[in-house]
Amino acid sequence: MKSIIMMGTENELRTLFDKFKGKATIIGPKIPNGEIAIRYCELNDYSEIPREVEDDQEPGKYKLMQGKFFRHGFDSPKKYMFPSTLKIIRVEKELEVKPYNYDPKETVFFAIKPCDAAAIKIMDKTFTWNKDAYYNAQRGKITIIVENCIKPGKTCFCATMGTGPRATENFDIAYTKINGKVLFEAGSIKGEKILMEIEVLKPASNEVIIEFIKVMDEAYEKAKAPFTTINLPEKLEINIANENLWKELSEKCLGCGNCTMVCPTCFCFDIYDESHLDEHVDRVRYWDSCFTYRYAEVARGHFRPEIWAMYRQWILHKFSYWKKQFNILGCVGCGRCITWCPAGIDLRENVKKASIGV
Amino acid sequence: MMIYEEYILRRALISKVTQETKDTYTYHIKPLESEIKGAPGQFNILYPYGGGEVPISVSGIENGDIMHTVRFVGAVTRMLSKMREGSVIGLRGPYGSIWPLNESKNQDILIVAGGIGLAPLRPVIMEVKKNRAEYGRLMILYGARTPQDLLYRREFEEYSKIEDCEFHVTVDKGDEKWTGNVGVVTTLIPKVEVNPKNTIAMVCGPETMMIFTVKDLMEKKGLNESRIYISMERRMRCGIGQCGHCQVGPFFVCRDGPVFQYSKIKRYFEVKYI
Amino acid sequence: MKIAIFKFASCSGCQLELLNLEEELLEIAGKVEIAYFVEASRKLMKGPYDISLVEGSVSTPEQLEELHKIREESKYLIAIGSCATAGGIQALRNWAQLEEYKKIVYLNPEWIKTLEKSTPLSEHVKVDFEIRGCPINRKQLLWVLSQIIVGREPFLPTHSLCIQCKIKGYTCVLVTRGEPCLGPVVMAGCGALCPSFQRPCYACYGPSDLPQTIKLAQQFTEKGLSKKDISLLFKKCESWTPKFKEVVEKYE
Repeated sequence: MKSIIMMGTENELRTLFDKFKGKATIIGPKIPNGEIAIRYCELNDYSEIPREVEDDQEPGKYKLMQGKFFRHGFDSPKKYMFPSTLKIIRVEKELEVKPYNYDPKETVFFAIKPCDAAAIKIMDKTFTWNKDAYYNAQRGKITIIVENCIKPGKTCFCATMGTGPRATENFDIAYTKINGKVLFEAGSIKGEKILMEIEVLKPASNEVIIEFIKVMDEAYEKAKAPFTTINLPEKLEINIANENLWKELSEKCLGCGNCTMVCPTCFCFDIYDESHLDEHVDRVRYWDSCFTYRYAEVARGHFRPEIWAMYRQWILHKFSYWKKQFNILGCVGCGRCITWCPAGIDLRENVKKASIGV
Repeated sequence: MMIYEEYILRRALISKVTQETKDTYTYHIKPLESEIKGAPGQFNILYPYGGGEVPISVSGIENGDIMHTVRFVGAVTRMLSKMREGSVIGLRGPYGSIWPLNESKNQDILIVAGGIGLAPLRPVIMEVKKNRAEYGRLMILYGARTPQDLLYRREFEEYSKIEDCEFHVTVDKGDEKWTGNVGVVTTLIPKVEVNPKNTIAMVCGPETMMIFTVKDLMEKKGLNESRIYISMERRMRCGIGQCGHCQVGPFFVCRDGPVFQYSKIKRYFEVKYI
Repeated sequence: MKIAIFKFASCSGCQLELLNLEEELLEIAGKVEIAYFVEASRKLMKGPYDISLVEGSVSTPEQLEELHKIREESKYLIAIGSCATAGGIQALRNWAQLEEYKKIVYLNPEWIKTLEKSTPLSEHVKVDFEIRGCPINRKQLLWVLSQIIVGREPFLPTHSLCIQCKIKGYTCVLVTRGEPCLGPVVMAGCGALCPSFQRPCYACYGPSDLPQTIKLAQQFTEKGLSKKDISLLFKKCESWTPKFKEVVEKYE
């Protein structure tokens, strides 16, 4: 994709937003009434996108305050691509089986961050190897408008994971807000066509591009973890049987599963039977987590009955097994699992420790 | 409209139920909607109405019926236990990998099974019996806790009569009538002569039993780990490597297994609580 | 199918949930026979019963006797609510001197005949299934009944409340507000009711299937909570469950 950086102002961003109005469901950041976090939800107007607000994220802490640039809250595009509960099949008593209709709407992800766009790329791999019809139904109907991250938060490490802070792939349009200007670039033919319709956009001058590079380079330095992904699967698996190490790393782990729920790529689910009094059963797909006790339990035994082993499964899956399964790492470095961990466990520190050993 | 075909259950009729042990029965199941089969080693997902799904290995195919040997140990299997001949259940499958029958052509086959672990290996015995000339010697080592826990006892004579077949049975604890071997299944291993260059071993049973069996086969019989295959049990929910539950290291047991070449799974299989 | 509803030491709130099912109650009545339900019907039928729903903790010698009788008469004995599954709020007296309590509360303490401790049904008889909560969630009750009608063993999720909270999409009160929410160690089932109003969970569903209560208490200490505050957090209607008791006793 040839990428020419175009320059405009916030007016053009609004124009871009308005282009989708009435044509698609627009999902973007918003602070709904009564909430004290940025959420992804349906937007009716550009003005709903928060302004003059910033999120302060630390391990186990999230706070909104006045500021210039906000990142993401706990939810991610995952909840639209892979709904947390989905009725899939209705079964009647004589085992007449009818699938429920699932017809997701044309959706625009507006102002999501590069890590979230990268997470969709990962989900593409995890869900399409079995041609998951539910995922694909939505996947064919999305447009991704990314806001590059000029100020990564304290729990971010997208630079290490290679997913940000500037989006490099898996988006239609990326934009960057720099000192009153908004720079646009297309990431797909679809995105390029849309940008071409906004005639006031002009190619950015060299001065502006230099300014852009400087801002992005600074952001890059802020989004690093204390480890690299080079040979990471092998480094981690060296310690696979080091029980004491995993016990140490999971010392504070509550086994609550929050990390897996807020993770934009975790894909585990289970299907339960919801029986009803009128004698039909709905088979419902729910998000599941490798931190639930029943996850690895069978009728006469348990394959992973302790928290340290669950924690190892999660870390090794994200940073090693995933690579072997889908030829990509399972982490985008968004830091949600760090911010939203009630115990404030810092994944970055633990991956570092686990890859060096003790 | 998009339909995720994989999760659609097909109606199937329970055509015959045979008791094996106190809590284990073999169900003969006739698919009513489409032909559902299952090769040796694979499993199907059974679904009693409203009860949830349970993965059960294929223990035979007879007159177009699939046989599934089920032990009533969980909520779903206990619900299955109430179903009789003529009941209709839901079925999807088959899923998973198969025993290395192709690789076993002209090779000796050594089967080591513990308890209900004989169920997924029964179709291998039947295949060898049916196409006897295609395989070398057949050795079957089978152990269970007590004589009452032995599966398919009515067929034991038939196994013994297979040409060029050695069949040894043991129980951990005998009773007054028991005159056979007593001891865990690994105590049978010295009884057979194994040519390590020409033998494929297929092992299925509780995890601890498989660990010790594999160890003995390698150390005492000189079998290379690439000649040993094991069938693993995990919580298999979706059957297609999507829902995550059955993972062992990078493998989805439901999709990459349940039958694994030992050399492939060894690195993870030997790790505690993997 | 005959259903009976019994009550021991409790506030009747769980039975009320059954009555609150309204629409569904008619549907239930069409599927099963409500054979014994003192609070709702004058028609009381004798046992045996297919399902007995028992509310309340075992607090008096008479209740203990009745419980054994109910057990004998019931195919399925289901304990409903915190009192029946954990001893309830009244189990707080289990830590105190009974005689002293009696004197404080009653004018004529000698008239009060009670057991030393308030205990869950499962301490005395085999309980086939437990529906947790204070009060129970009527949807869970309905789900369990329909599962039994379908012919399966009842099943409810046992994982942490956090998972349910996230599935529902509620913002974490612990992380955003620093509130001492017990969600990470509490069993799901209420539908994350308190967090949906941005209030911390106070554990009326009791411990989850792998509750790290001591670790969570340690977290709260680091957040600046006093030992007493922590012990009080766990000393509510589920205080008598072993994992909660552990914290109460360590932090009291």
